Amino acid sequence: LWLFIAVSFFLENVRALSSFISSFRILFVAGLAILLLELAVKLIASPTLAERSDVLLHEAVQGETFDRLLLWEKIKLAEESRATIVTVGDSSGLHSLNPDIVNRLIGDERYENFSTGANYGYEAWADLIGFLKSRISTLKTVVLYINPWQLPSEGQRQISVLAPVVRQNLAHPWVLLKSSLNAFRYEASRLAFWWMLPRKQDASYSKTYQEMLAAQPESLGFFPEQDFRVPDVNFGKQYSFKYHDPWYPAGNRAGFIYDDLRLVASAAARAGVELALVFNPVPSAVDPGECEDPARAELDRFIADHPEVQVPLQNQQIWPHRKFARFNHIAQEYVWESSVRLALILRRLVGLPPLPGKLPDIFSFEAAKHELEDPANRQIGEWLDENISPEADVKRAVFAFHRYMLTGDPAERASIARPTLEHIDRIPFLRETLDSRWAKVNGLREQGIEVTYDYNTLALTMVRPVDGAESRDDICYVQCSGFLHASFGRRDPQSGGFTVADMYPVFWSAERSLVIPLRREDGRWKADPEQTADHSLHADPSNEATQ
Amino acid sequence: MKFNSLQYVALFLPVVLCLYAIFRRTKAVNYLIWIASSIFYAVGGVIYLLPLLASSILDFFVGAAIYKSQSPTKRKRLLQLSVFVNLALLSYFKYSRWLVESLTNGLVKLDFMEYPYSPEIDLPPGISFYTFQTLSYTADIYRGHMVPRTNFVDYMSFVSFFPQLVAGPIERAADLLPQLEKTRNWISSSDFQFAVLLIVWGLFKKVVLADNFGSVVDSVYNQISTGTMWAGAGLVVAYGFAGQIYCDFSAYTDIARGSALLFGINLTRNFLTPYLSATPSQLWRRWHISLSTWIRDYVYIPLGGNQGTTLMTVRNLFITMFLCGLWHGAGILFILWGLYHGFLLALYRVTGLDRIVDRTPIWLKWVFVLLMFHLVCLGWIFFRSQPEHLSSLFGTIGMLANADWSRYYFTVYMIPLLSLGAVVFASDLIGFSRNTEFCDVLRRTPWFIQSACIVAFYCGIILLGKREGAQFIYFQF
Repeated sequence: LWLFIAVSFFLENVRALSSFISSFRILFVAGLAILLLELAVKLIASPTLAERSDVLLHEAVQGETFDRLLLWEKIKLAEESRATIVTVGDSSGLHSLNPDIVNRLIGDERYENFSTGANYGYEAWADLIGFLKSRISTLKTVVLYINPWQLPSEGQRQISVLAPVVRQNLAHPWVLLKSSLNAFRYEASRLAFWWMLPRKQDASYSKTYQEMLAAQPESLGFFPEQDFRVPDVNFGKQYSFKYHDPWYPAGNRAGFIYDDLRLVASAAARAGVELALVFNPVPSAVDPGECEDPARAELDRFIADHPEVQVPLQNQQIWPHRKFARFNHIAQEYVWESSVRLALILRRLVGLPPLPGKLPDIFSFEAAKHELEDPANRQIGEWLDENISPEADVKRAVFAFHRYMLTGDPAERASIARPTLEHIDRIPFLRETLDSRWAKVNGLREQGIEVTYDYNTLALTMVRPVDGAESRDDICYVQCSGFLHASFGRRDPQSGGFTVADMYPVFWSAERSLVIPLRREDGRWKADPEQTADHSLHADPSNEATQ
Repeated sequence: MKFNSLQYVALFLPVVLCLYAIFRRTKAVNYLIWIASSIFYAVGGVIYLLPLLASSILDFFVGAAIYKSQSPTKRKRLLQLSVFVNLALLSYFKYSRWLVESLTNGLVKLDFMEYPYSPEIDLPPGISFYTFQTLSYTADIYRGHMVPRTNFVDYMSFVSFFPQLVAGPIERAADLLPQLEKTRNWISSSDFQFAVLLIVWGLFKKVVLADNFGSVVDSVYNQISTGTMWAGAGLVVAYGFAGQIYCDFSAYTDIARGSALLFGINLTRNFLTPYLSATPSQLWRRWHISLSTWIRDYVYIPLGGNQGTTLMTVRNLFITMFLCGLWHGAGILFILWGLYHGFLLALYRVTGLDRIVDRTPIWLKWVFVLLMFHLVCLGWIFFRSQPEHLSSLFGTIGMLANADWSRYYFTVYMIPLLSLGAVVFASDLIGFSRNTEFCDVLRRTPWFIQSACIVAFYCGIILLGKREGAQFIYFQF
């Protein structure tokens, strides 16, 4: 009918229409050309949703962030996926759950890891569930796998900055209208902003991402945490979350936890998939703080009101801190253990019988009580004065890496951990840069200009082993954060006075603070850079699951 | 509402345009423009409508009272009232926070206070623009250049006309009001296509050029804040921000002009290839034209302009440019930026360089253009930076002379600037050759070239446009 009307209209009004088109021919021709271009690209290049998305920014100068690269890979994974079970959630799942291990233990089911990071937030995970169901026809069960301290709270909501990215690229109706030309943004930006021909792996992608690419596609979304060692230390009360919104009407039972979990549960219900809630184990050395009880109460309310949501492990499980690379990221050699743990949970969820053999009965654990030892956090300035001598040696060792990167001084290499040096030496560009810097510093020295460092503005904190089994009196650790000032200037040969010509402050945030091991020898603390590579400290012969 | 959002381009503008087509010949058309403009503005916060209404209502009635009054003293008092209230409003929102912070910082240093105080005052978008616009309304009535309007709706559609409400051009009532008051015919197909061309070109300049320039500049400032410095960083900021602010602001103006033209309204041109100026006075005739002519007409000329002695002229230039700097923002560096341009204007005037440049051969004029461009770029460092950045940024420019260990960064950062700068230079050169802007030249080319350009702008936006781009810079003024 429409065709008939259109043709009739055209035949009857061909002259008027022709005149109209002619009057606006600039726009008509441009619009038509754009339409043809889009169609041609769509037919010839057939770009995928990931390629058409704006998840990657392809900016001038600045590289992609790991979070965006991760989401991009997850979208690509979804387009090929045949999973029946997936996890979504924060980075505790991303780094802890290896589908290759899980899939060996769950029969005919197929699990894939779609966990992302805490800064996506619950809204993003809810959107992700809808997106995954629309792409993966075989999907039956979604596990919301989170770190218990990532339960919805005021703080958690503040860091959920990537939710709009997920919404705009996966869940918004505009997604359908994304231009096919988007698929060539990478090539265009490489040419325009770098004057380089595009390559698959290059400088605009981070090294971590290169590693992730190397791991694909076998990883099925799993990405192991970097193998750096955070010692068994007490990190104190890291979390002080507000779980209730003070603006909610008094007496309203809902809080952040209830509302955000309900959001995810609704998304799962809309998508027609079963939802399970599983918590990552928590490390023993982190004090949960005083907010555990209100959170627990609100979580219980949610569970009671939503019987359709499976919560197979009701108690928080605490693992020894040595099994973690970070607060909530399982260290690489324990990934198999957390993957087995998930597999056991999934078997129960899909109705498979328990596995034969000697495995821990994870479902019967009591809620653990954890007594922390005296955290003994003190300002290291004061502590160093009392306990470490000579102080300058320790500080030199602590900042050797920074000084080496700043000046390229080969003398600093003696104080830097071997794995770090090997890592630096493997990168030719870094080597060249450091050589060039050292030549420059030497040139400055010839002109009488020296580099000095002011350590006084740094906040240094001693952290100590707390796990009784692992505690060693001869080892402790120093955490450093804050500002270090490197000053360039001249020294007066007569008076020895130093005139500062320029100063370069370098800031270490608490998140990326240095943790430096110290060893007690002959009653004195000395820096022990080799300690960071000593895996024997973290070996776990008593691991119950290995027996 | 952002011009470079789908919300504006795909929803707001088409809907308002359709409604305009329906009500175009009725008396309701300016109600529509006023309501649409209020919605456009209120997207950023309904509360911001209050100062806009307060300033507009005051000047509407003061303008009428000035016109009715026969007493010169009373007329002057009424004008003073308008100036005082408008400037008080502007000062409260724009400068009080800075003043209080500066004052309490000083008191902290003198140990009279423990912590500095920073009052929470949000700056209503575009307050500097509409305040100047309503001020010109009363000032023009006072001078007898126009008669006050009796139709409040027409007047409000003039003050709040959405294409130019938030970041100009600052329109004079004598130019814009008559266009809004008359019954407008539907624009010709040629004008319609030109309006679309202006909007697409503006979007291209914003998301491809300005935002990518901004990305480079922001990256340098992020590094500065973490203490990382490399040779030439200051130069990258100067060039990058020069490109960013020009493309950003001229893009806004192009979209505003295009949007207004769809409603049959011609807005003032705000830019005319400013970076191809050879002298400071040429620059200010080509940069933010609506502001520079406003300041010329309402500040510089009333002060005496260049009619007095050389010393008086220099004084007038410094006062005018000081106010121009202050208009842009609260901060010592905005004032320094204004004074710096006052100094350049005075220098060229006193030394006679203005006249020398006019008489030089073409090739030497280009040398002066290059010099002027770099002088402008130097000023942009003041405009963009915080006081604590200055020594580091200028220091890195000096480091370029004998640096080799950090030159890698300089190259990496300059490459995108050169790519983007080449587009800006080429388009400006085309406009400059006809003493107009690129789009106006484009309009006179054969239709298929215009079509091809629209397709090219579209491809540019998709392929190189910055995602999650920034707000227009001049929104904050």
